[in-house]
Amino acid sequence: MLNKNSIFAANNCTREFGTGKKIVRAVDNTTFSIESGEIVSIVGGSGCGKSVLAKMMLGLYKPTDGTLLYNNAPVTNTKIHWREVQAVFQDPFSCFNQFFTIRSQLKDAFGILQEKPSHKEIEKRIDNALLAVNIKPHEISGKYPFELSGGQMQRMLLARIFILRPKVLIADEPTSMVDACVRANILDYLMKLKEELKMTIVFVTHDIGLAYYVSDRLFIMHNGRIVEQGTPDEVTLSPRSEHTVRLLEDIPEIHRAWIC
Amino acid sequence: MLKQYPSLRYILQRGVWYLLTFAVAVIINFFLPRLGSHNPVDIIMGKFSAGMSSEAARAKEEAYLKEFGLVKVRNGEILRDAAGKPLKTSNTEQFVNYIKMCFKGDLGTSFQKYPKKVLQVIIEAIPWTIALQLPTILLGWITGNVLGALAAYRRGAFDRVLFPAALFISALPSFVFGMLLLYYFSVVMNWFPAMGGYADAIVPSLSFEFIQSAAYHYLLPFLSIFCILAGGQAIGMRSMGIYELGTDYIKYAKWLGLKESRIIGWLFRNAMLPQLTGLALSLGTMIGGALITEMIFSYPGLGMAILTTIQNNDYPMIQGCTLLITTSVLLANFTVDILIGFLDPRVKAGLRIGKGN
Amino acid sequence: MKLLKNLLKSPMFVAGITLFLGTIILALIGPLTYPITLERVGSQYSTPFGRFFLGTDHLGRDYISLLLRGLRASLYVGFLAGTIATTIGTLLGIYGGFKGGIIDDMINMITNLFIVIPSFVVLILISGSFEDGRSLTLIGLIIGLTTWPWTARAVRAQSAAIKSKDHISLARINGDGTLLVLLKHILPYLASYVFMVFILQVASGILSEAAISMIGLGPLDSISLGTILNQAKNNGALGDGVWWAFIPSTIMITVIVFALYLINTSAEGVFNPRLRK
Repeated sequence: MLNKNSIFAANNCTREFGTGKKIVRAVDNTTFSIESGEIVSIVGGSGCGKSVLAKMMLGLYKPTDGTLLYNNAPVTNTKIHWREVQAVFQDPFSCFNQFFTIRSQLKDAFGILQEKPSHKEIEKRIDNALLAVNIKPHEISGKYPFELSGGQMQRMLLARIFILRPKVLIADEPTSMVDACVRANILDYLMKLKEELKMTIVFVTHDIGLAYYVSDRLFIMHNGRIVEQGTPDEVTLSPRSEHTVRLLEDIPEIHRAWIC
Repeated sequence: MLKQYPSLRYILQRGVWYLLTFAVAVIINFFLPRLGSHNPVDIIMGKFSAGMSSEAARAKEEAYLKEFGLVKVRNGEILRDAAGKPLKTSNTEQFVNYIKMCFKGDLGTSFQKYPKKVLQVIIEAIPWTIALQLPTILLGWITGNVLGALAAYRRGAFDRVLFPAALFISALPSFVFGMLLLYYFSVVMNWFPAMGGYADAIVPSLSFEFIQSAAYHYLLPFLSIFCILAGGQAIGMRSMGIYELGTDYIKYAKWLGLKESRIIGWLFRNAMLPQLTGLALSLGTMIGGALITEMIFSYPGLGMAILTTIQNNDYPMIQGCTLLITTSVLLANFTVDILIGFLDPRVKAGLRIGKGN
Repeated sequence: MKLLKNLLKSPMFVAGITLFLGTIILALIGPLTYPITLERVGSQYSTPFGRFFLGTDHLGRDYISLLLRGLRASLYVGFLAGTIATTIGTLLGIYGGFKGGIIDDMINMITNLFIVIPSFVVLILISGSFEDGRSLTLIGLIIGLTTWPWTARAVRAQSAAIKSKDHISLARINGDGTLLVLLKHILPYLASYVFMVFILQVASGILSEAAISMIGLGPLDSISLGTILNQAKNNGALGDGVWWAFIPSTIMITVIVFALYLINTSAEGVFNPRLRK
C-alpha cells in the first residue's frame, strides 16, 4: 500500500518517551501513507497518541523506531520542513504568546520563509490573510491575544496558514475548544484552504462524526496503534475494530443522522 | 522480585540516591577546605614547625601528621628528605587516607582537646542537640501546619491576626529571636537562666534535680526555634490551603454537601504533601539556624562545639562536625522521603509522569 | 503596567516596598549626611541618647556609623547572592525544563544533590579555608553559589509546564531557535515568578550572611549587621544588658527581611489571584 508519490509514508513508525522502566510508547508501530491533496483524519480518544503522531509529521518529534518519510525522505532539516508543513493547534488561547501583539506574532511567521518579503509586502499579506478569515485588520491592531475571543483566536491561527500557504496542514483538534457555531466556520475555512491552495490536510480529532463529514480517509487510533483505516463509509458503516465501534457509539444522535 | 513490593523498591531507590549524595558530601567535606589559602594541611603543618622546640610537642604534631596521612610513613616512621623535612603526601593519597578513617568511624583527634578523639567530643554534644532540635522541629512543624490550615479555612479575623504575625516572626532569624528572648527574659526579667543546658553546680545524672534544671534551661532555646519554625510553616500551609480550597474537587465536595470535617480532612491531607516536601528541603537550613541558636544560649550541644572549634581553628573537629551535620540532614531527609512515599498515592501507585498527549 | 497598578493596590506590597526602599535610601544617603567614623570616639559601651545617639560599642566606636556601614554591607551581600543564585538557577532551570532528556536529568540531579547538602555546611567549610581573603564579596559569592539549586528547581518545574503549551510549538514552527524560544516565549511567562524567587533569595542571602558572621566566619574587610551582632555577643553585651549593642541591628535585619517577605507574599497574591480575597 506504500505509494511512491505519497506525501507522508510511515513504516513501523514508533515514538517512545522516557527512559528505562518509565518508558511510555505513545505511538506504536504505525504504518500508513497519506497522498497529496487528501484530507485524512486521525481519530481516537484522549491519550491514544494521535497528537504525538501529528507532532511527528510536523517534525516536532522524531520517531524513536521505524521511519516516517515526507516526500520520500525523512525530515532532517525542520526549518525547510516547516516551509511546507504547518499546523493549527487545539487551544487558541494558549497558541499565542500573551506578551506580544497578535499582529507582531503573525509577522513572526515570516521567519520560516526562505526569503523574507519586503516590509510593505508583509503588511499586505497579513491584511489579506486576515480578510480571508473574515477579520478586518483594524479589529486586531495593537491587540494582545487575551483581548480576543476564542473564535477570533482560532481564526488568527488560520490566518497564519493563509500567510504561509503550506503544502500540508496538520490541524490538531482545531475545533474542540470553540462552540458549535464557530466550529462550522472553522471547517469552512479549512475547506477553503484546501480548495484554494490544493492543500493536504491531516485532521486530528476525537470526534468521528466530524471526521466523517470532512475527510477522504480515516485512521482510527487506540493505545498508540492505528487499529483501522479506510474511507469514512468503510470505517463507519462496517467497523472492524471494537475501538471504532466505541467511538461511533459516542457520537451524538444529531450527527449520526448524517452517517446512517 | 522487587516488583511485588513497590514500597520496598521505592525505599531502596531513595536509599541508593542518598548514598550517592552522601558520597558527594564526603568528597566536598574533604576538598572544600583545601580550596583556600588557610587550609587544614597548612594549619597542621604550621603547628608542626612551630612546635619543633619541645620534644613532647613534637611527638604530638608528628602523631597528627601520621594520623591525617599528610606525610609519607613507612613502618610507622615518617619519611624525611635530606634536610630532615617530612615528605608530604599528595591530595589523592590524603583523600584515600581520609576515606579509610571515615570507614573506621575515626574522625581524627581534636587539636584543642588533645588527645580527645573528635568522635568522642561529638558524642558528648549530640544528645543535647537531638533533645533540643528533634522535638522542636516536629512540634513547630505540626503547630504551624495546623494554624496555617485553620487560617486558610476560617479566613476572617483569625487569619488577619495570625498571618502578619507569622510573616513577621518568620522574617526573624531564629538566633536573632533567641537573642531578644534571652535579653528580655533572662537579663532584664531574670526569669530564666541565660546560659548552658543545666545549672553548673549539678552533675548530669538522671536525678530529679538535674531534669528540672535541664527543663528550665530548655525553654528559651526551644521557644526561639519553635516560634519561627511554626510561623514559617503556617504561612506555607495557609497558601497551600487557600490554593486547595479553590480547586474543583473541594468545590465539588461542597456542592455535594459533604460534611465540613470531611472536607477539611481532605484539604489537610492534600496540602500536607507539599508541606512535607518543603520540610525535607528546608531541613538543612533549619538545623543550621537551630545550631546558631544553641550558640546564643551556650547550649552544650553541637552548635557550641562548632563555635569553639571554629574559634580555635580546630580543623579535625570542623570537618568532623560538618560531616556529622550533613549525615544527619541526609538521614532526616531520607526519613521524610520515605514518609512521603507512604502518604502520596501517586508515589505508591508508581505513577508514570511525562506522557504528553 | 497593569500588574504594577494591581501591586500598588495591595497595602502589603506598599508597606513592603516602602520599608525596603527606606532601608536602601538609608544605606545610600545615610553615609553622605552623617559623618561616619570607625575610630574610637568615646568610652566603652557609652549609653545611647547622650553624645552618641545610639551609644558606642566595646571599642568605643559610634554605633550609628557602624550600623550605616553594616546595613549597606548586608544589602550588598543580599543583592549579590540573590543575583547570582537567581541568574544561575533561572538559566539552568529554564534550559533543563525546556530541553528535557539527559541534560535535564543531569541538572536535576545536581540540583537535588545540593539542595539536601546543607549550604550552611558548605559555607562553614569554604569560609573557614579563606582566613586571609574572606571579603564581603567572597561571602556573597559563596552564598549565591550554594543557594541557586532552589531557584533552579522551582524554575525548572515552571519551564517544563510551559514547554508543552501550544505557543511554544507555534514558535518552533515559526522557525524560532532554542535561545529565542527560551528568552521570548518562556522567560516572560516566568518573569513574575523569577522576581518572587529573587526577592526570597535576597532575603535568604542577608540571613545567611548574618548566620555565618554569628559563628565567627563573617567578612574580615567590612562591617555587616551580622558582624555587629557577632561582636556584641562575643563581648558579653547580651549578658551585661547592653541592649544598644544588638537591638538596632536586630531590628534592621528583621525590617529588611520582613519587607522582602511582604513584597513576595503580596506579589504572590497578585500573580496568583486565588490567594487574594
